Amino acid sequence: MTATEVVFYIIAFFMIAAGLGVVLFRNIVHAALALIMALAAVAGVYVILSVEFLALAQLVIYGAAVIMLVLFALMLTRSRERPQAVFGKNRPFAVAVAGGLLAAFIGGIVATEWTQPARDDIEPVPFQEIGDVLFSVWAVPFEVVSVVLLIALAGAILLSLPDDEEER
Amino acid sequence: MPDVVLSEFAGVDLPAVVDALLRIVFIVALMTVNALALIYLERKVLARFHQRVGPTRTGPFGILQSAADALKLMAKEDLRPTSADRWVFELAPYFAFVPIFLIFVPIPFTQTWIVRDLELGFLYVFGVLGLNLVGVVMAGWGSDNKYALLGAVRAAAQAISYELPMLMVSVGVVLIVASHLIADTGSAAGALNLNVIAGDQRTTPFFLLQPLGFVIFMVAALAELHRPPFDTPVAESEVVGGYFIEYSGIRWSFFFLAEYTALLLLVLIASVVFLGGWNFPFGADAGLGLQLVLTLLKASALIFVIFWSRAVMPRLRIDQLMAFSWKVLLPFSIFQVMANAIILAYNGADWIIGLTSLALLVLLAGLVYGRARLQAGEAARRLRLRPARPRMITASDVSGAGGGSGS
Amino acid sequence: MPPLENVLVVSAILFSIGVMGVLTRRNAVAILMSVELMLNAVSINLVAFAVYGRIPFGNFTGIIFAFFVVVIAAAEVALALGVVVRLYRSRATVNVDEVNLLKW
Repeated sequence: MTATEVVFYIIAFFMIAAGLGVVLFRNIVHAALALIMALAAVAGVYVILSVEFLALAQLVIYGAAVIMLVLFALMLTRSRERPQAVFGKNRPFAVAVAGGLLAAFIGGIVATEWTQPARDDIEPVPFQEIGDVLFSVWAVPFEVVSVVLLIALAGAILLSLPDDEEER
Repeated sequence: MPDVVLSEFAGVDLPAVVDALLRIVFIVALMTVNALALIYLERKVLARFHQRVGPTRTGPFGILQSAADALKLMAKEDLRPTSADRWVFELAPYFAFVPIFLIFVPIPFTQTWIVRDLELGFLYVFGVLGLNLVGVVMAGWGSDNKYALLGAVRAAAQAISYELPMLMVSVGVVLIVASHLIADTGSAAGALNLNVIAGDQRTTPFFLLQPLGFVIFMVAALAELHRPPFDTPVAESEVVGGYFIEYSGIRWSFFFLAEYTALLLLVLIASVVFLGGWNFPFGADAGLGLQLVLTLLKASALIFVIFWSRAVMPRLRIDQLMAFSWKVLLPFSIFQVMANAIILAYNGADWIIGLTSLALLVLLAGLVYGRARLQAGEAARRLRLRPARPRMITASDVSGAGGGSGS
Repeated sequence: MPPLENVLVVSAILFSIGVMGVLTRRNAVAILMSVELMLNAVSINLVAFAVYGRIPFGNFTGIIFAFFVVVIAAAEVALALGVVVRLYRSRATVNVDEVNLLKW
């Protein structure tokens, strides 16, 4: 086992622990902080997989987005004033579904014979190749995505405007 | 790529682990000394602006003042409000501090003095800088204090708003570097590397090519650092102390350390990206010592400007602050990127880029100045038209005042 | 780098955790966070396939796809939060069990 693999398993452990935190913490703010940990760990996995660019994009975009989520969670829940059920009645059912899904996934992954290259053939992806492909082959989807972002921005503003004219 | 920092002086090859440890020790020492020095210098500089003399009692010229302050902080009791959320409250200072510490990694102090020469250094800086907010929001929420929460929400809103113009003007610089690299080597690889960006400024530092970019970067840096005139998150007359109001002793000093380290880091980045860093007047031939002095001198000049702005500027209101970022700085930074892209696409010379940027800067300054004049004129007219008139105090006024301002 | 199977198993675990969160959580913001977990698990898969398959298959579309997933997720967060704000304004709750007007 190489040093990279050891680091990968440590990061994976943190990622799964933080993911469980997101799902299990009763306090919504604790859950949101765990989500930040999980997203940072996912960025770490990207670094291990030699895609540093994606890891940094993940931090820049998700960092700000999740901070906003935390703040909304703070402002909207007010858990101290009115305690409410955190988990629904169907919890055992949900755990069973998730467990079954996980078993199916792992079974599928183990049963499949991957056409995996020899370990020496795996090379880091040069960041420049990503850029070249992103702005040549994938230029049109890239533009479409930016339009989607713009529309989402406008939509979010429209949705959250106050109802009555005076407050605008 | 030079991988050794201190062993270059010693002339021996150290094992990787020892070398890494030495780098960490060096950065930690730099951070501590920097914070102590900046606290003292800020008080001295600010005092001179106010026609005072500042600290004089502790040691010659008072230079031991910040050491005395640090000792006092260490000895102070570490308090935690009973209603605070224990883990969030206690971990928040570290979450605020560690990202700032990590930003040191790609900064080129000299041509070869870099903790690690990262290919995506510029993007890395922005990615890690954003994580600092997690600690701020944790502190604000975990303290269970309304002022702390208000300060944290303000800090988050402000940091997210001002990060965008900062990123956009940085893209403008990276575009120019990439075009130079393509002209030289045929590929744009390395345009996000801070050391390559500094290396590209042998004859013309980028504040000449991107005056608008430099100004917007510094303004956004002031906002990211919660420095006047953008210090609403820590404004003492509005939210008392901001998000770290409930902290004391060693945890509070972590926030303070993070703040002053971030100050040093952002001016270092500005000096590397816009003022030419180690490269500008003397180039790569100059010795390591001279290069280090150049970088630090440029950074110090910018730090002085930041202290200066604290002494002379009034604080902006929170809505003015947000409007300034979204309605003024962001459009102008996008214009800057588009202008650069169009000029570079038609192989325009560097001086055309510089002139367009200067024209945009003049336009921006004119807009801000005109708006300020307009508002000042309106305020003056309102004052003239409706002077405060003496009025008889009636019984209803008295009873209204007695009943409080509940309505 | 770790073997491909291990990366896939880790992302499968993360995905299942996300599924559990979506099914058990009642707070709309928490459900949104669980969806983010699932999206990230899928992104890890895409990136892993792209990196491990770059030499044998000659392209790395998965990385581009993961990049698009990150961007779309940001748009999704913005819109979903808008919906949650509306929900809170009209019903004064973000508990999805109490939002049952269309059930009858």
